[in-house]
Amino acid sequence: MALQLVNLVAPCFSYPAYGGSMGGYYDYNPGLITPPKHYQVGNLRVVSFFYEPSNDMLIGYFIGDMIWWPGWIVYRLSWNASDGSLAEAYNVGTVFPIDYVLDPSAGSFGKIYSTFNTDPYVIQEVDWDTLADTNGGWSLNTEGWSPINILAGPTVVNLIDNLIVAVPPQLAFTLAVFDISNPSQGVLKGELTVPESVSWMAYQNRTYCGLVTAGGLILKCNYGIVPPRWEMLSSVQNPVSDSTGFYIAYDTQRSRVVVLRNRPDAVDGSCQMQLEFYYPVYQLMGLTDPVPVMIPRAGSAVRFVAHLYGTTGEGVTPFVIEAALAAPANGQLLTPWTGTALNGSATFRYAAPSFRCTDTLQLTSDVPVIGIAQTTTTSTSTSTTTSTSTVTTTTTT
Amino acid sequence: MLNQFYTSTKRVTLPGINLVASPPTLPQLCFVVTWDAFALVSGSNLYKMFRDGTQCLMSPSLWCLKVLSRVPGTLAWAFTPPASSTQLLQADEISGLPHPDLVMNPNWTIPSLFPECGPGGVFYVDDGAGIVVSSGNFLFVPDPCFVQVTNLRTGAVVKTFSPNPNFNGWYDVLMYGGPSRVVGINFLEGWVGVIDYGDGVVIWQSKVRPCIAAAYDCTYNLIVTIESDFAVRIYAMEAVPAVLSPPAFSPAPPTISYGGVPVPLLRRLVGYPVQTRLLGDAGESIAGMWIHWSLKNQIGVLDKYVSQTDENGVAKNYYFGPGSLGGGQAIEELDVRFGPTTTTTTSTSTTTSTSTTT
Repeated sequence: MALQLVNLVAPCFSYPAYGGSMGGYYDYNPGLITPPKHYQVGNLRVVSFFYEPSNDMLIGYFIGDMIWWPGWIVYRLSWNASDGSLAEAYNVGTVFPIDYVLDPSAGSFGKIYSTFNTDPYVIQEVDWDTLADTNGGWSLNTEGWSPINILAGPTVVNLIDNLIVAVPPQLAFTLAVFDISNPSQGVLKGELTVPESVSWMAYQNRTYCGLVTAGGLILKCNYGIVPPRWEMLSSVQNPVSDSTGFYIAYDTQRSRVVVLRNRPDAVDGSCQMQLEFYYPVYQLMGLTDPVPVMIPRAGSAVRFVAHLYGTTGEGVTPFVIEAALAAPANGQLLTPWTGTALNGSATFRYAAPSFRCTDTLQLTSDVPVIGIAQTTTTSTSTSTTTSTSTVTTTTTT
Repeated sequence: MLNQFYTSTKRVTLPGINLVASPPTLPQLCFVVTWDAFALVSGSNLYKMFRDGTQCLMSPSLWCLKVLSRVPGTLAWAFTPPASSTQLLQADEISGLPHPDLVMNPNWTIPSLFPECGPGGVFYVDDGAGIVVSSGNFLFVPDPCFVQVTNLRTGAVVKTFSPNPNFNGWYDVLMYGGPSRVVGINFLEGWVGVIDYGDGVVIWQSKVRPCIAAAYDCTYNLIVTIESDFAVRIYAMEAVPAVLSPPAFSPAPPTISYGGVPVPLLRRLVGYPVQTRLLGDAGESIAGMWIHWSLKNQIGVLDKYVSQTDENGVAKNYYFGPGSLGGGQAIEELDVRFGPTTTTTTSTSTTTSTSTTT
């Protein structure tokens, strides 16, 4: 299983234009400032990103640089979860809530929970619209636990089963699941190794959570079982661009993953942050060369293996790989097409003639692309990958 | 030498390795049955590598971990070099990463001076049988290769044996090779040994070209190596024929003294078993090859003119003495032949055939 990019909103936010006394642009002398920046705000940093089910919105909190006093601006941005269109850009007006909280994200019952910059032991329910402590809301203080577990960082709170998934800074590259049935002494229920430092986590349901790493790997974790396990390893599309951060939310209504990718402002100062909507189907990365797994001998049938794979090497299935011998063919292809197995592998059998020859096996797979390609905004109907292997059969009598 | 039949056109990218350091920093390779591909560790990166050399990054943040083969063809992990608290961890199926909860040696940790398995130590975990098989060599001193079998539950040494007197060095990897078997591969000289760790013997051994990483593909019975040119090469577990022994009677026929010289007494119309053996250049038996027989002087008769080598590389035939010779002595030469012109190995045996007068 992989993640197919089904919708891309880029950019997902536009900075307010600079409305200076001379009408913005003309306040700049192009000879002195190159290139001119046309916006009041720049350099937007992500504080929080989550799916808020009661409004069916994707909510993000951001702080950016402002050209006026006091030099910063805090935004609460709301996007419609259905299509990623911007619903509201609310100027919070104060830096207090985002300075206080650390990594607020959605948890069970549609609530938002946060760890705190001011106290590494506390998790507290916060209001989605202000990030202030919810009056009478749930909270947990782990300071009395033995051993002490600092929970600072992304967390997933599941109060249905009394579980907390955290990435404690004291455990390098480890995802920890705590049983908090006894809040005064949590129990480490299980651990998992993460492939890279975790950037953000999203609650999916009482069994699963998703996370995105600093480098754009997306994982789905089954934290409800003992021991926990990964159920999917995939990646954002085009993870080697100029991304400066990835943040993940899980749209529980549409069962899809939304990734907020932060990128540096463009040279003209415009916002390049983007929303990427992923659906958990397949995503084709390529088709390997057909490799013989037996000695190609004259007069014998030879087996070839190829793989249809996704971004992190996961099998792309179920699809058909078609095979053909390049003309002029000497031998005979016994398997003109094969479906891929769960790991993406497909085998082909080729009957070599009884004399020494060279044949070329060509593979083609037409995998429909249901979403859009990252590099273009037009959708592509098919993706064709061809690979070739040349094999010389030798006669042995 | 094993029969190499595939070289990838793609070159593997191996960040973080240093081939000129002493000891060199090498990539690690392990076959994973469920992936039908290889786990490739290079520097701090974990890749899934397919047989054609295609790599997909699965983790960029591995730290001080050694990838191990585990029964039945899956992954496990240990810290390297073995630290005083080293544990053997199962791998997660999807991510391939070590699972902190699934410790296979919960009651003991691998000591830093694990016998014969110091910095160069390698492990193979058979948690079905409850043992860990280790090889390697303390401080890289070239001594006769050791293999040690340790109880996974208690850490007690079950047995130690030196399976391969033919080379000084150690196996750089031990890979699952079937029930109670590991395939050990030495990179420097390219030795490949199929080891039965139940009986403590090398069942079969051969060589590949020197490489920087290698793994045994237990699905298709292949050795897959990465050489210093970063190409992936695939070998069948079948040696290239190199030596064909002279045909010989087995058992030897009775002899009679002829002019003071003992010569075989080959009676007419009686079949005498004769055999030859096809070997690779490292002494490997080569099975399933067709051997062509011929008689030079056409005095006697052969049972078959083509016969196939068995699992010991032995091809058998029968030689019948001449049917109607008037008596006396004849010289018979027996030829065996394998392969076309370039790989023909012809060997001649001279036997004296004597017929008795009735």
